[in-house]
Amino acid sequence: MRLTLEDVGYTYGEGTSFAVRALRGVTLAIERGQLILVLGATGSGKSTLLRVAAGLMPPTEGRVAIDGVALDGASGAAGRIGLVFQNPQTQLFAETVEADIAFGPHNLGMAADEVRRAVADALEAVGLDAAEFGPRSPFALSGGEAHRVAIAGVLAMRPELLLFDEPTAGLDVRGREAITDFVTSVRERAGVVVVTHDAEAFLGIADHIVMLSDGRPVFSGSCAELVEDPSRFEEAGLRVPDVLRAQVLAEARGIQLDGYTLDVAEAADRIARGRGRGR
Amino acid sequence: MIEFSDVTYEYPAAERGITALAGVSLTLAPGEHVAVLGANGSGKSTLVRLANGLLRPASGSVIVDGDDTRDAAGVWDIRSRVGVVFQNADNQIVATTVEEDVAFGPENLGVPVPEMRRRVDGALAAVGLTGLESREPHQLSGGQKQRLAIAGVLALEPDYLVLDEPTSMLDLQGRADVLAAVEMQREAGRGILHVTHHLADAASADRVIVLDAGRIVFDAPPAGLLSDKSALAALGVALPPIGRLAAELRARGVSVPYEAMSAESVAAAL
Repeated sequence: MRLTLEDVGYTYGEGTSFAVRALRGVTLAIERGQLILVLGATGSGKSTLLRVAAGLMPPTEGRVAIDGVALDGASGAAGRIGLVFQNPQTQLFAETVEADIAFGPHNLGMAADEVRRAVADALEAVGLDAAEFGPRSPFALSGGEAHRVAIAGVLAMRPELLLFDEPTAGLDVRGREAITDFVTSVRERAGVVVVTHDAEAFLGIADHIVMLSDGRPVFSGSCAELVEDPSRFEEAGLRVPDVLRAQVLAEARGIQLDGYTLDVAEAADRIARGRGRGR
Repeated sequence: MIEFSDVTYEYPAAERGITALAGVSLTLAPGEHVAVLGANGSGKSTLVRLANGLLRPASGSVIVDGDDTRDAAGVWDIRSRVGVVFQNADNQIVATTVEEDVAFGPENLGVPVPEMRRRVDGALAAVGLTGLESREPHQLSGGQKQRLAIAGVLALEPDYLVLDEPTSMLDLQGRADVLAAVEMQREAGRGILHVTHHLADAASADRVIVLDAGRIVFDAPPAGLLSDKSALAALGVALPPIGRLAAELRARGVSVPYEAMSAESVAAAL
């Protein structure tokens, strides 16, 4: 499956005096095995892009298509595109974790034993023990556990494309690492789009990065290209990741570096070498 | 002063069956900023709910300026003095416009209109939402909603502000804006209890408390914690990337101070 967005835009309240043009001119393509990272400050149009890509809102400009066929309404994408919202834990509703996760695959018409397998797989994929967590109430979980159960509920439908809206929000360091690992492993099964302002968590593993500012793409390219010029973060209203900013400031102090890097050990090597040369 | 004395709290067995807090003692003075760190499930959110009497301790006590949260008659008064901002902003927004939402709390307390205007404008300015007064809250982005929830509590002008991961949905700039707003509240003499996952957020606090499985395992100024890498790792409170860069530089013989937790302070040491 290949999802394409061609010159896509979205205007809320189009044709009314309240019209807000939240998105314009976005072109991208994604298929299994790929991770696309969409970066942007609060209000840059990230969540709008995700909803349009998921087929929840038809674009008011351009075209969204799966394998060349335009998405018309929600039907075309049912079960094929999984969308994990911000605060997904607020969508938990069933009496047990197992029943909550089984709801989606059951509604897609999976057989009972297949549903059971899908639930077990999904819990394992998010790092929760099925025997321990399956019978628990979803309302007796910590925030991070509930977050992971909610993601498992989307995974159990075995979507071909997974869209995440701020997946690391509200998670501690272990939770963030688990989600980053999980996103890395899940791309074997599905294409992944991550929309976030948490650049540091995903930059290193993304195949392609789109940066939005004020609803418009202001950068589209690889991580290596983005890191070459850290001022791009500022232009998009984002703060430069600290590790990059430290390198920019080190250069300003006359320490010669061989380019910027997000790898902490590599950055330390270059800074230490640069100081050595300066003496 | 908010005083937790040997507080234990246990959720009913049917819900969770684990001790959420065990023997926790801490204080929060007016004008003090105390950060609370800990892994998911360490008891942070329980601590927040105990601070203003939403939960009552099973044993031990929580005293707010002399009033015990177990005293049912005084609990509403305590809640007006201890403002809590929860994790999920959507659950805290009630009105159809931004300014009405902020006005909701003071209106219910019977604040007169001119005073209300001042409070609403002040609260919105403090979180950087000035100019969005007539927006509908559902039109706001996630980060803007979070700041609206904080403004709603600031408008109550509480003596203490308890924040349960208020920046978890915000981008770096949004986080910096909220932290600056929190700092203003501290300078105005409010006591701040700030529960966070972000070690960098805790660096500006007067004291850091680390919870692990319902117990306090650290209660001291942040510099001490930041120098204790193994303690941090054991708690799942890992160093942020800039802290790891500082550690890597130290390992290469560059003397970067342990307190250096920003790009500026690391670069200054080079």
